[in-house]
Amino acid sequence: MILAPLVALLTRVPWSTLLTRLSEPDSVSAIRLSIWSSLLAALISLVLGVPLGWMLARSNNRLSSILRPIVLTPIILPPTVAGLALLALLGRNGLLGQSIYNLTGWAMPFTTVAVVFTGVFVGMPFLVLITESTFRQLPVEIEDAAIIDRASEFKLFQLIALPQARSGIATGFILSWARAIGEFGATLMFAGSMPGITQTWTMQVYQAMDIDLQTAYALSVVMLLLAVFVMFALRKQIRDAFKS
Amino acid sequence: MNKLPLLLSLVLVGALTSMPASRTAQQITITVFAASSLADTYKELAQSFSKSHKNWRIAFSFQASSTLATQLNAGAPADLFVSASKVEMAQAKSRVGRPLNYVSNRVVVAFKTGGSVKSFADLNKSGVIWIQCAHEVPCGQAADSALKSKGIVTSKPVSYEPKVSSAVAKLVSGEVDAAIIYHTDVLANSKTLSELAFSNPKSALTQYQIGLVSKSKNAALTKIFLNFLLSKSSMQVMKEHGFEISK
Repeated sequence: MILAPLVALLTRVPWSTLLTRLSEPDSVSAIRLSIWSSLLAALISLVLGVPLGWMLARSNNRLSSILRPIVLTPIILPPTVAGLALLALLGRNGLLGQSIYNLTGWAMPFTTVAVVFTGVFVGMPFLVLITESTFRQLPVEIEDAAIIDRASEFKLFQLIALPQARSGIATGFILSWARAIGEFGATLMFAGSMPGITQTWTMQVYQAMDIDLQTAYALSVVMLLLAVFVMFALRKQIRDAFKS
Repeated sequence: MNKLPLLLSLVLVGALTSMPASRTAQQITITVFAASSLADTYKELAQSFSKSHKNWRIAFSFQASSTLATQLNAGAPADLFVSASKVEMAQAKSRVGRPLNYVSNRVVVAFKTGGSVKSFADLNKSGVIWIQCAHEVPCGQAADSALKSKGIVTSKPVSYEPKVSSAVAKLVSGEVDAAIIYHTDVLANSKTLSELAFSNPKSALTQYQIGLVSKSKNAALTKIFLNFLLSKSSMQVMKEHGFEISK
């Protein structure tokens, strides 16, 4: 059930015209936009998510037991609901967006910022989930020794936890990146679709499907090959992250 | 012998799953693939149809015509296809044998009444943002040709929406200042929206087509619903919603 659709996709690819189809300006700009915006989203998730995962792993108080489910909620949210939520907050008439618009004349929808923001919103929870569980699985003895040696919390995080949790963090990064590059519905609702600015790879596949199925297949297979490549390149890290 | 419980449970499951089917045996379901611009009007028409056809259920899928045509070509089970332009009907010609010219509609520049846009030239102002439909869908094709013939608008939209209903939603919710949508959409939101018509009406026009999907299991019954849609009273409802009746 997993392999068959992937193989079927490969059989439909117009190999002979693949390069010409992919070098169409709209395809090129969509692929480029998707790659850099999803990487940026994953980087932001990394910078914010790793400390958050650490904080959640280290504390067992009430705050963290409330914070944790909130941070992870976007994992379950359907993209359409996520899109609506982002509009409700940052749309031109949104809770925050209205003040920003009135003050600066700038609104986030229909900008590349919105694409990246959506990527962080839907992707970061995966990073937090994986990094927290990795931090929790670190051997207690090392931490105890560090505490006895009066290492500060930050030193413990920086010198011991971070290096040991490398695999988990890498896996979390990949998952959040994958979620960001694959996002479709929320991006469309919140960011719209404009070649070069907000029209992502997934959007281009959807749009191409309506008029030119061959181009849709061509765009899809590159995405598939990229996914396969990433999964194989990181198979060791992913295995380690889920090893308890 | 120990297979008996399994056998019994299989029989039970079979009996349970076949029950609803037998109970609803008389219910008739017609699946209609219709351009998203028809959603409001068709829901109203279906309601009046069901008053005289108690056991009928009209299941609608409202999407961009191009999306529906792609789904039909992929074998989607539908009984009736209503496309917002001839292009998409032709795209689905392997599934829809003999389509009829139906109604027509035209795109307009729609804006919030009392907002910052009042003329075509206002679209070019900095700070004014507007959207249109994607080139792939009928409302986008009509917008492209209307804008080209008008020639005043030099700015670009901030987004090419995948179907007209999502462009309407973004205008109504105030995310954009203007949108090129159908005249019928403006009428449906006449409390908040106003419109500017393109001076060359032909360039903004799109011809809707309607046709029975070939090899539909419900062909005879679908014809009844099709005749209802083409009836004088239904066409009057279409007219009230702003559609133009083709000659």
